[in-house]
Amino acid sequence: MKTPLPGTSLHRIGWTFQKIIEKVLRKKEARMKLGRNWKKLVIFLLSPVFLAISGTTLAEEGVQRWEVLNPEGVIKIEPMKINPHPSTLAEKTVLLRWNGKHNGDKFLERVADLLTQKVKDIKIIKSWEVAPETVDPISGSQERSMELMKKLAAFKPDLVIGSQAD
Amino acid sequence: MTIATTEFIGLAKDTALSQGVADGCFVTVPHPMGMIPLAEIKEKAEKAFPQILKAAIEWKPMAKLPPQRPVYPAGRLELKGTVEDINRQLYAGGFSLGLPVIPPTPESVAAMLKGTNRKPDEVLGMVPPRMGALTIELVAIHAVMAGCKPEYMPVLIAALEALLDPKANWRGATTTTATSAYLAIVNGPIVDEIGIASRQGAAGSSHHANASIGYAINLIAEIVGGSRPPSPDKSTLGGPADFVCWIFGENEDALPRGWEPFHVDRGFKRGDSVVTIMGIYPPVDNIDHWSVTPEEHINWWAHLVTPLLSIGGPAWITQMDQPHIVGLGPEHAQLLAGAGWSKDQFRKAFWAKARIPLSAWPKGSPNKDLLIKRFGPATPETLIPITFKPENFLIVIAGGSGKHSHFFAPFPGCFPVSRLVRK
Repeated sequence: MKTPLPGTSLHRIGWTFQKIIEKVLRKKEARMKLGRNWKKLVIFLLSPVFLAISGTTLAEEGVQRWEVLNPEGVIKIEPMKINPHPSTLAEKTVLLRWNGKHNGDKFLERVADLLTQKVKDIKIIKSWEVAPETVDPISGSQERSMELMKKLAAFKPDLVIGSQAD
Repeated sequence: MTIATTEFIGLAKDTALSQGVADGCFVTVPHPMGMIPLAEIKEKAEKAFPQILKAAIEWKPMAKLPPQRPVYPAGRLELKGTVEDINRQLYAGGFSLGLPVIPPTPESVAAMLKGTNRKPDEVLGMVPPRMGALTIELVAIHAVMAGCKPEYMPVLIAALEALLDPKANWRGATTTTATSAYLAIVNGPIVDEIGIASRQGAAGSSHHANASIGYAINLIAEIVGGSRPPSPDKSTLGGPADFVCWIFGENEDALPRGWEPFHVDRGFKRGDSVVTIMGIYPPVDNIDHWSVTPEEHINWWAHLVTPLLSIGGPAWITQMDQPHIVGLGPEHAQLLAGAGWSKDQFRKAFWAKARIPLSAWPKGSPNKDLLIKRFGPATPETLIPITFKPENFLIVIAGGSGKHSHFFAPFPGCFPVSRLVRK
């Protein structure tokens, strides 16, 4: 037998007739069960109350107080003292330190020009000219930083001006 | 006096503070300084000059370092809510990376500490750039948060001990603009004991030990070390390895006959359990399905990985002194070994072949003069290798079947550091 196409009148009539039969059968079955198991019916009727109670308990368990250990840890830094700056740059030695980042040397070159123009008898040292091996943008470690610093400190500057860029 | 741009002055100040300088002398100029014409950079210098001159003679330190507290035991946080709420609160407080974490309760941390014989108050070192004191207790807190099992603790601790070695350059790789990350390679019996993945897709997902240990390492870097974007982590883009670092076990079962495991090459005994870490750029995948001789395979390597790709010489010549890690896939390793090649032959052939002429060096590269000096007398045709010597290629057997190998170029200043796993 050919099944009617969904959406046609014949299909709708058939579907309605099928639902009526199912409903009648369910009622008949329920009456039989009620006769046999009235205790089950009581439990069934009371179950929403039990579910509500247990649901409340679960919700209360979800929202709770927590004690957690702080994952941030404590900062531990050894203080480092910086030498005071000179009160004048006249007749002083200023070391310009370039770390290799683009244009940092050009920036410092212009600063050197201006310092020479404005400050009497200033001595300018350009790190990239006197110690090209210190042109190192990412020294990587304190050991390496210390090594670079010692090389530059050997020029005995009164002030170091460093360009970090980027 | 330090001159930095508006975008990087925060990093400069944080770095100075972490070195113990509470109040350095800084001059800020508008970003950027790099990649602008000469006239513009001169103009920036002229505009900043009055400030530079004033700071040169008038600057005096004002601030003091923040007061220091005991590093052990860890403080406690009282929180309220569901697990989801707790995660939101931890994230808002800067205590997570945005991915879910398991709340580190005193009980769960105590259970995690059972995975190691080390004392909880032992200080492994200070995690840069924030210089947070890393105690064993703090390691356990992050291990809980990342979902580690207690038996993973010895591997996690060994990896952290390696990262804390100055040669690992933890500060540089976590604060740079580059998409750098850390690679951890695990060798020895511990790999099978705790289930570190070492075969198919070993560095990928679905491997609990790798994932949770890699996650814990990055939680510690960002939370204890404080390297989070936008500053002091200055990553231009960043990447997924900022959440879970690269981590896999060497596939020692796939080692060709006569080839020693990676940790033995590095001076350890075969029965030792060892973690090796190195700061890296994202790896390059050598997809070679076609070579049938070592010479053909070397050609693939030579055209794929050049000094420019590994960014060795062009930017920073110091990187040419650093080891690079070649993660040979088992099938590529077998191709080489099957033809009787040793690791050393591969290193030498790769080093000899993977070169570019000096004329290809980018304009503006600050180290070109040093390169000429090092390889001189150099002409534009002089071929420049990736590293100064073939021994700088470290070989590890990485992953399972497939025609893929991976090249891990080091981040500048990062050297491989190995540590024994101690229980």
